[in-house]
Formats: sequence, C-alpha cells, structure tokens
Amino acid sequence: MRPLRRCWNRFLGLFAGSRRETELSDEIAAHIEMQTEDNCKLGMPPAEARRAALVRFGGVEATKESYREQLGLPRLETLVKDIRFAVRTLRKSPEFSAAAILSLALGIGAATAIYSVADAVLLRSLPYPELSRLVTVSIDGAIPAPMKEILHRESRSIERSALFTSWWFNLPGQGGPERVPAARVSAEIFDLLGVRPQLGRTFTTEEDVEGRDNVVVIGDALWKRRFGGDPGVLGRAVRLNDKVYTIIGIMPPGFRFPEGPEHHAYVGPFPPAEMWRPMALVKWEQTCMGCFNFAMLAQLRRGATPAEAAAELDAIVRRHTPPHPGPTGLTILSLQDAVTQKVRAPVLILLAAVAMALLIACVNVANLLLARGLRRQEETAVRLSLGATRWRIVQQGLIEALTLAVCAGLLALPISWAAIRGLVALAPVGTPRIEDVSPDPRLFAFALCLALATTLIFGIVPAVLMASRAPGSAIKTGARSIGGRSRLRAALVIAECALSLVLLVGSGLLAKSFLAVSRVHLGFRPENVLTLQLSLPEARYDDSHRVSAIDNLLARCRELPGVTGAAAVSTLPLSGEAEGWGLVAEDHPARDRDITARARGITPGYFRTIGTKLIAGRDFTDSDKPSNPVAILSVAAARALWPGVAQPLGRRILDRPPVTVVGIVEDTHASGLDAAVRLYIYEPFSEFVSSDFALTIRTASDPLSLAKAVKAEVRKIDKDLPVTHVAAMTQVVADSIAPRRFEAVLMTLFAAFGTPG
Amino acid sequence: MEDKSAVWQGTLALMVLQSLEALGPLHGYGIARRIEQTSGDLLAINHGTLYPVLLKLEQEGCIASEWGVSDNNRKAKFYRITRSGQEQLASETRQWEQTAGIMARFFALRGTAQ
Repeated sequence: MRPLRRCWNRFLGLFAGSRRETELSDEIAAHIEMQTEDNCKLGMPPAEARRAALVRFGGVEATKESYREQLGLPRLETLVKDIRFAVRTLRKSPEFSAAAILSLALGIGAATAIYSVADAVLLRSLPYPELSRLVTVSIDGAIPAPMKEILHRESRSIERSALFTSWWFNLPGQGGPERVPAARVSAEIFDLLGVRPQLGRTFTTEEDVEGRDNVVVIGDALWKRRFGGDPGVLGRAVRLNDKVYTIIGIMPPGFRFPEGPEHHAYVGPFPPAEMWRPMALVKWEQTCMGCFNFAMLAQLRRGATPAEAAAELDAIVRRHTPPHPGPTGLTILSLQDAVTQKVRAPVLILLAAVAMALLIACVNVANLLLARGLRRQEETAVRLSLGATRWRIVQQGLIEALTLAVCAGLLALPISWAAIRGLVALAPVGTPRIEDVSPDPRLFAFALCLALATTLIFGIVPAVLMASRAPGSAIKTGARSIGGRSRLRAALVIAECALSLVLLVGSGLLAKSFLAVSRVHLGFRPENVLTLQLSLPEARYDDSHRVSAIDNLLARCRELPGVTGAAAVSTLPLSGEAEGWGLVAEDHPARDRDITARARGITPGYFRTIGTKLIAGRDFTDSDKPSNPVAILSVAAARALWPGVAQPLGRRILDRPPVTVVGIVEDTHASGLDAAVRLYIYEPFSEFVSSDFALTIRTASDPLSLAKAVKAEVRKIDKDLPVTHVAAMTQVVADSIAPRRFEAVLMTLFAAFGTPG
Repeated sequence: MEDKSAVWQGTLALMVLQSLEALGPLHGYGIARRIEQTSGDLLAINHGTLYPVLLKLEQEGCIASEWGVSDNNRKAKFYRITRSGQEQLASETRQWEQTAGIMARFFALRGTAQ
C-alpha cells in the first residue's frame, strides 16, 4: 500500500517538478538562515556563522540532486526523452518515416477493412438457432411445388420443410408507391428458422391457403421507415398490389430472409425481403411438375448429414421423373453456403491479396529499417565508445520502432474506416449482409501486432548487432556494410519481389477475365436504349386490360421526339431470369430429357428496339392470336430442339394447342455475361401472363434525356404505377459485371501498392 | 553502498517520525537539531541528507507538510506526523526493540562465556 502510494505521488511529482524544486530551494535557504542565526547567538561573527551553517548542511547541490532523483520517476523520464528523441529522428528523415508509416498504415488499414467485410458477408454465421440443420434443396436451381411435397413425404432425412420465393409489393405512400422487396413463404418457415416476431404473430397454416391469405408480416426496418415504429399497425389494413392485406406481425431487427442469393440460382440480384405473405399455392402451382418457380428450405433430422440427405433425395427425384441417364440436378446446400456461395471466391481472393499486401508492407518497412540501421553504424559506434550502455542503445532502437508502429496504427484507423465505407458503397448489389460490416477491432489489433513485430525485429537487429561489437572496431570499419546483413537485405528484397509478383499475376488474371467478360458478344446492342421497369397490379389489370394499357403506353412513347422504337419485355436482359420451361418438339416426342428454355414475353418490335438480329422467319405482329400460338426461338434453342435442321420454321412445340415456330433470333447473354448462353423462347406478350415487365426505348440521342418524358407518359396512363430501375441499357450491362470490376480494381490497387517503387 | 544508505535512510526516517511524534510539527532545521541533541552530538549528520528522507516520508503519506512561520518570524515549511505515520512508527519501533533485544542477548551470551 505504502510503496504504491509513493509511486503515485512520484508520478504526480513528474508534473509538479519545477514547483517542488523552488520550494526546496526556499526550504534550504530558510534552514541555513536559521542555523546562521543560532550560530550568531552562540557568539560567532556573521560571516563565520554562515560558513559553519553551510558546512553543517553539507552539499546544497548534492542534496537537491538526490531530492530530484526521488521526486519523479527517472525511468519514465528517460522513456519520455527516448520517445521525444525517436520522434525527432523520424522527423529528421521525413521520406523514410513517411514511407514506413504510410506503407504500414495502408497495409493495416486495408487488411482490417477487407477482413471486416469478409467477416460480415462470409464468415459470420447466420443468426438462426439450428443453422447447422438448415439446407436449401433445389433441382437445377429451383424446385416445383409438388416435388417439394414428394421429397417431404418420402424422405427420412428431412424433418420439416418450407417453400419460399421472391416477390415485389407496391406499397402506396404519399411520395408515390414504393416497390418493396417481399417474399412468399410457407407458414412453417418462421418455425424452421427459429425466429419469432417482435410484435404480433406470423401466419398460421390455415392462412397459408388460397383465398385466406390476405395477411402480411413486415420487417423492422420497413416498420420504422413507413409506419414510424407504431405498434398500432398490427391489425391495420394495407393495400399491396391493389389487394388488401392485414398486418399481423413485425419481425425483429436484422431478420432478412430470404436475403436473395440463397434463392433460385438463376434469380439476379435481389434485395433482402422486407414483407412476407403466405405462400398459399394456387391450384396449378400445386400440381405443375414443370414449374421450377420455388426455393425449398428444409430442416434435416438430427444426425442426418447433408451428404446422406442428398443421396436419399436424389433417389426419390429419380423415381418421380421420366428416366434419363444424366444427373438429376438435385443440390443440397447448407443455408450458410447458399447465402454466401456467390461471394465466397471473390472474398477469399481479396483476403489473400490483402494478406499479401500487408506482408509486403512489413517486408518493405523491415528493409527500410535495416538500411537505416546500417547507415547509423557510425553513430552507434561513437555512442558506444562515449560510454553508452548496450542496453540503452537497444532500448532506443526499440522505442523508435514502437513509435513507428504506433504512428502507423493511428493512421490506419481512419484508413480502415474510410476503406470500409468505400467497400460497402462500391460492393455489388446483392452482396449478402453488406450492411452489417463494421471495423473489426480484433483484426485491427492483429495487424497492429504484426506491424509492431516487424518494426521491433528489424529496428532492433541492427542495434543489437552494433551493440555487441567492440566499439573500436565499429569506428574503424565505419559505415561500410557487413556481409551478413547485406545477405539479410537481399533476402528481404527477394521476398518482397516474390510477394509482389504473386499479387501482380493475380490482379492481371482478374483484369483479363474482366476484360473477357466485358467483351462478350451480348446478342443485343445496348447503346441508346432507355429501360425502365413497371408493374401493373393484377387486381386492377386483368390480362386483356393489361395488354391494351401497354399497347397504349408504347404508342404514346413512339410518338415522343427522338424515339425510334419502343417495346415491352417480361424480363429485361441481365436483370434476373425467368423460370425454366421444358420444351418438347412435336416430331421428337420421346427425347430423354426436356429441353429447358427461359421464356420471355415480348411485344412486336422488341428485337428491333433492343438490337437483336432476326436470323430467319418473322417478328411477332399484332395479328398473332392466342388461338394459333406462335413462338420465336433463339438459335441455341432451335438447335437443341431440332438438331441438324438449319431453320426449323413452321415446326411445332408440344403444348395444348401446339406452338408454331415463326422466327429464329441470335443468341443473347441475357442471364449474365459470365454465364453460358441459355436457351430462349419468346412468346407474344399478350399470351404471357406477367404483371412485371420492362420498357425498352431506342433513342436517337442520349437515352437518359428522355427518361422524364417517358415517366410522364406512364403517369398519364395510371398515376399510381411505380416506375423503377430507370437506366440506360449500357448501365444495366455495366452493373451486371460490377462484381468482377470491383474485384479487378481492388486487386490492381493492392498490386500497385505492393509493387516496390 | 546502496544498501548502507538504505539502512541509514530507514534509521533516519524512524528518528524523524519519532521526533515529530514527540514534539509536534517541526521544520527541517528543528528536526535536524532535535536529532543532534538526542544523539548527544554523537550522530553528526549533514543536515542536507534529511531532505530526501522527508520527501520520501511525505510521498509515502507518513508525514504532511505546510508552510508556516517559525518562532523568530521566518517563513518555513512545517512537517507533522500523520495517522499512517504513527502506525508506521509504532510497528518500526516494535521491530527495533525486538532486534535490539535479540542483539543484547547475543552480546550478553558472549560476556558469560569469557
């Protein structure tokens, strides 16, 4: 207790130093005066009395010195002096200091930022209690509703299961309707995930039936944004897509299911759902074995492994589908993998790259420190011969290194913060849980420790080497470098070059694949095309009404000055994908397996507007009638259906009634520039039931200059229609390869940073 | 050398505490005089050595100081013993007495042997 108190008081003494010393001087002066007076009283002459008093007291200065030694903490004072000295030395060589601090700070900052992103989007577990038992089940990316029933009924490894699919709701509001990402989900899904609403309830199985499904559960963010967090919204009726739903529950903050990527493999970027309505399968969905419209979430029985389940389900699928030799396409993915599958490879690549960059920074700084240590041989030798202890010299080296690392660490904090903000802002749409990214203090600490270790080792090595040699010999050799250490430097340079080379090659490869993707033959010409997405609510627009509204709108758009073509399409290229449609050629009915094509509903003139070449036959016309159904095939689809037939015009696809092929168009990369070309079948828009669609408008000049006029035309038709995703088609193309560009740019940055200048 | 001075500092500190306990608040010169008188001038110390000891005792909280005016109207710093100093004094006095007692018995033992 007492020594502790003394320590504390000595610490305080550090700050009271000068005051205490004047006090001591006064005290000593008074002491000597008093003694002098007493001596005078004893009869000494004044001069003699004062001399005797001084002798009696002993050395005044020696007293002050030993007093001073006890006053503060001399060790700490030396430390402060050393730090001051280190800062001064660093300031004396600003290029060295700036280079060392900056490269360490960038390395630490970048590593912290990338790791924080990786942690949020990839490494951190999804917040569901029994996550390890949750899997998604799909066949070629999706599953038909009756197949889910079959799997659920016949499988022993599945305990519970549910269907889900993405959906949009038009939520009316003062600023016009808002398009809210939503999901259709089976009632069981909330139990499967083990998440309860924070208010109200989720739907019951009785409500998961067509006709009784007018209930909706909303997300926390939407609740706060649109309803001001008012608990009174429970029981309130809202009009969604022109149907009335009752809000029955509010999910807790952070509940995001589906997040998008775990979905059908072919669905494009889809934001996490904020509203949930019952699945309530309609009649045809319950029985259609060819409608690959859903995603399936399953909870495995305790003890069942995904591999066993996959084998069992594969056998079940085989029993219930027409026999064919190929694989069934059945895939089981853990929910965690399903969510992160698309980001895994890029994030791991970035992690490796940033680790490399950090290593390079450390090697770089090591090299700088070593070089400087060698330059200071002479100085060290002089100090040693002047009597500095070896420990003092090592200690000073240590403190200089620490100062460097701490400066770098402090600078790395804002760098990592800015880098994280940048990464979040630049990250491609659909990156899961990107909102959750926050700087990770653990990694920051790790990176800082690495920097500390580097600076310590390489800051002290020269000092220790110098200190261990005889002072005389050091002066004699002067500043000439010594063999051992120049080998060490050479090794460092080699390591640095090797690491940089890896980074350079990596970034080169990424850049190359990015270029390859951006040079893919699109199969359409995106220049001078304006696109926007519209949704005509089913409740207000029945099929015939919808077709006439669209025709009306297109006619108005074509009359706008500068418009050279306008058409509608059910799914815009590179903006998601429609479900697969199994095609069977009428004259080849017994093929092993259906040919799956993606369907698009288009209005006449679509190919001309988007710039896709008609290879043979004709485009649709207004006189195509549902009684005599027609279709246009992409080259690849025609080739798959009728191999060896050059232009299968007039041939028919099996359906009721059969569909006649009237035209063949070039292949398009409509579902992703980096995906293989898919097969496409185009149908007249009037025969294709789709409430969501896109307008494409070809213009003579900058397409975005017409955006306002086109939106005004939409409002003239119906002022309550939400218009979204207004963009030039070139932008849509660029966005679709944003993830690759993002990786390539980051890698190039790391490589540039890591390459020795 | 350090050990010797540590012992000396410890003994001197004990004398300071005892003086302050016996006479009440004193200034540095007063303490020095008191020690000289009590030791019958056998212990001729440099008065200067007293001040680091006073600082140490103050840092430990055994004594407290404040500026005051001496008998002959001179500004001086007065030291007084604190509660914690009194405890320290009591325990150290006990230790000294014990040590002195043991040493005395040792010397007595040698005397009987002769």
